[in-house]
Amino acid sequence: MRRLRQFAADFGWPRIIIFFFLVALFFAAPLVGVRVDASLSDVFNRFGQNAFFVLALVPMIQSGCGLNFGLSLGIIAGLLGATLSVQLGLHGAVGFAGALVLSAPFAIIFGWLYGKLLNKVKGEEMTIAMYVGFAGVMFMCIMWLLLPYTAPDMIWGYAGHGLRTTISVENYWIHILNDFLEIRIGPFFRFPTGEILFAAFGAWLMWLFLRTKTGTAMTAVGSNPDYARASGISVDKMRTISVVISTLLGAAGIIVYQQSFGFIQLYNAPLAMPFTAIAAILIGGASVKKASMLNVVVGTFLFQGLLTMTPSVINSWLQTDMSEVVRIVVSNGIIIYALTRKTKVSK
Amino acid sequence: MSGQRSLGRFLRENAVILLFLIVTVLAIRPSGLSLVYIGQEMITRLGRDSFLVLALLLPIYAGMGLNFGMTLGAMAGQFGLILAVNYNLLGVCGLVFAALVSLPVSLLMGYICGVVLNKAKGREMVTGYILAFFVNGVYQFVVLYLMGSVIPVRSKAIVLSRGYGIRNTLNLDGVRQTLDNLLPLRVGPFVLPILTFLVIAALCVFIIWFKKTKLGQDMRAVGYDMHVAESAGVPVDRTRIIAIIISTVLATIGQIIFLQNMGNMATYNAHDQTSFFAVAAILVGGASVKKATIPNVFIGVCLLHVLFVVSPGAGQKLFGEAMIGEYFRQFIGYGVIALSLVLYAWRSRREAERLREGLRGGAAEGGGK
Amino acid sequence: MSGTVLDPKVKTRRLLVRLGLLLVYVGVIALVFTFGKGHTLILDNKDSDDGSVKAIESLSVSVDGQDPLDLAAGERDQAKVQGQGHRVEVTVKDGQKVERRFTVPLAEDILLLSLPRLLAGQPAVTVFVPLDVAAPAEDQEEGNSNAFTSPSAPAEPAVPGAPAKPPAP
Repeated sequence: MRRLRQFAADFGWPRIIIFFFLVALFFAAPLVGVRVDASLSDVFNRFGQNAFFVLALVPMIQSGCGLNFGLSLGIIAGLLGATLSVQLGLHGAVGFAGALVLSAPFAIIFGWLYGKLLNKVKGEEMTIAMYVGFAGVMFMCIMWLLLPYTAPDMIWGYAGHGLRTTISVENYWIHILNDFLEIRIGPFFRFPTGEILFAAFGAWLMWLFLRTKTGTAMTAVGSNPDYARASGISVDKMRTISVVISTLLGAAGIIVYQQSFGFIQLYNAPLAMPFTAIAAILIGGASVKKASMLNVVVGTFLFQGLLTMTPSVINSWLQTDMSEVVRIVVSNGIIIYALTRKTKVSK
Repeated sequence: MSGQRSLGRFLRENAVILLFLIVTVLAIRPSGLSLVYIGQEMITRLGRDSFLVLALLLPIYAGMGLNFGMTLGAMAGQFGLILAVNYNLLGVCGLVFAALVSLPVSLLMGYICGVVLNKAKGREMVTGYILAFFVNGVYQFVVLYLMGSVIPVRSKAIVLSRGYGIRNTLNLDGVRQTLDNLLPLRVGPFVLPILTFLVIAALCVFIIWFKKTKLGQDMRAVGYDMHVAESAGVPVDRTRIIAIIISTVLATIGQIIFLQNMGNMATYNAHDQTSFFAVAAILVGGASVKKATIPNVFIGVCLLHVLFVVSPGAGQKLFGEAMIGEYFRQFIGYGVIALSLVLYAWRSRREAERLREGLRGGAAEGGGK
Repeated sequence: MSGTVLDPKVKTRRLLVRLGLLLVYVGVIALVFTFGKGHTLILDNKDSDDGSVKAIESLSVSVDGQDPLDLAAGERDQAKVQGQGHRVEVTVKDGQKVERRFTVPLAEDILLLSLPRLLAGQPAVTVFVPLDVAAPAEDQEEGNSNAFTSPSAPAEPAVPGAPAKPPAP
């Protein structure tokens, strides 16, 4: 009994509550006419879609930079890579890889500059990150209109220039990961094996990285900066590296997201994405100062599960579309809950 | 020698204001708008927005940073306006009714916000920001689903055609500009909404008076250093909550003033930009996260809004696209908040380092970097 | 905040003050409600239902000092007013000006004012029951379009005075 209670305390009551709530929703689903296999399929799909974003938050949390509200910058780098890939007419696996490769230089530059900025404002990173992210997205809105893209699939037909708000990747690299080794059970259940494998691969790499010399140095900088400094580690350098990695993962994340979602979303779309990632990792048990792979996996699964199941069950039950309201309340409620906890370290 | 140093300091401390002035002046010409038009716009917006920005002062004073939770107060005010329109109440009476009816909601919102922020000390601004989104969800739920079904609404005209939920845009003709037009004063080509200005002036007087009361002094102590204040016997948590409650109530009234000037209300969106504009305005006016004065408010409103007025036109001229003006506007808005926050954080770190150097006797080396 | 000898007195005083404030609060709300309530007055120049009073040939009427409205016999027009008590000035064809005052019940939105009856000194204000008016259908359906997306950071800022701009080109 005591072991059980200890486990509960470690795991965190909120996570347990949400886990049982989610299970309850899965049980309730067939009672209100929602197919469990379709829902599970949805959840796995969204898990794969979002896993990289959540993973991207880990380096900066570990290095003490807080929650990366400026993930939008990484997303923008990814968008640049994706649009360039489409512009160059790259298809299939080449297109996907191309997007990743093309976004990398942008991500590194953005991350480096962003990291330098954050180093100058230690202590107030989160709010500044938010607004730098917003300003960046707005700046890119101007850029999307001005940059000399020419591929007819992407630009406004009427005006002749300027990128559209959403660009379909149907002819390029849609579902390139999802369909790889896809498992189908029945007409409703599709398990996007490729996507999940890719996400698992990313998580594994991160896990390895955190055990390298640089990785441990990064963690040291976050948990005990004075000790780190005394050991000769450059705090600023580690922080900048963490920001660059975070931005790179954000870029990769949006590309993975796009191949699953089917569209490249420009303009205002990146504004909301950091928040969903942050909610996910916080519900996974991470704190502002510490995050692990378990947090990422559990958090993404629980959060996306919640976001998928709650609206669909409630909608079917009440016969009305309340999905948006539910989404807002749930995701933000979780973030607030996490922000109001005393910083306790959880696995 | 010292003259140069103080010029440098002046430039650094007022960097944001100066930057804004330069960009604004540069943008006036290409925008193609006359100075009279800009001047009148400035007067109108001063009347419309100042109250909301003034609502931010007390939380900054109490050391809680920028109160992004003011949106909660704005939502309470909108709720009151919906009721006023529902009962077909006109004129200033309608506005007063809206303000009074939203008062209990506003007080509750402020209390909740204060309690939540107390639990997130050191992270107030982010928490306030997210809390605003959270309560937005609750607001949507109440206004979109409960009103008209569980909450009786007598005016069918404001309900969606599906039978429940309030319409997307609420026509505020009944109270449109009634506060502004009650005592208009014509000065040359400009029209001044005197009553609105009087209300704003009254708030300024209230704030100045409040800072001198014991409660005001308590807030100052809490803002300066929470631990010191606590050991001096100041009820820190309670004082912080009161600061937020006052701010929320002021935001409610401010939002009502704002909406009566606009003339119609986007039921589900009107409050989205409230905190953004108010925060941007006060930061542009030279305030920081820890220090804000009444002049900051007015300077900020003028500068920010003049730039907002001229930038679409300037964007159009310079880039050939009207939408660019819009994005440019937002970019400047977010950019200025980011810039101000960065400058403030940078400055306070330099202060802290200088203090540390001083403590170490100056001669010793600081910790390795 | 330690208890002093005066504590019970202070407590009752505080309670009284708070009750007083509550009364003032409710009172002011009632006040602004009464003075702010808007009504639509349908001005009627028809024969009364029972035929006792005839319509006036042609008249011009000004309600609460608003612009005068012309009504021939059998016509109707409407005026929007605020509050309970109102003043009506009727000018008949031969230039005679007559002034009358009346009050309007608080709860009703639309009221019928029969001018012939008013001038004859009979009770003239009745409740008007409109035929079912379909609410204007042009408004967009559903809660909302853009701003709903989750912690959706701000959409475009509202342009003052003009209706909200539609989203990007």
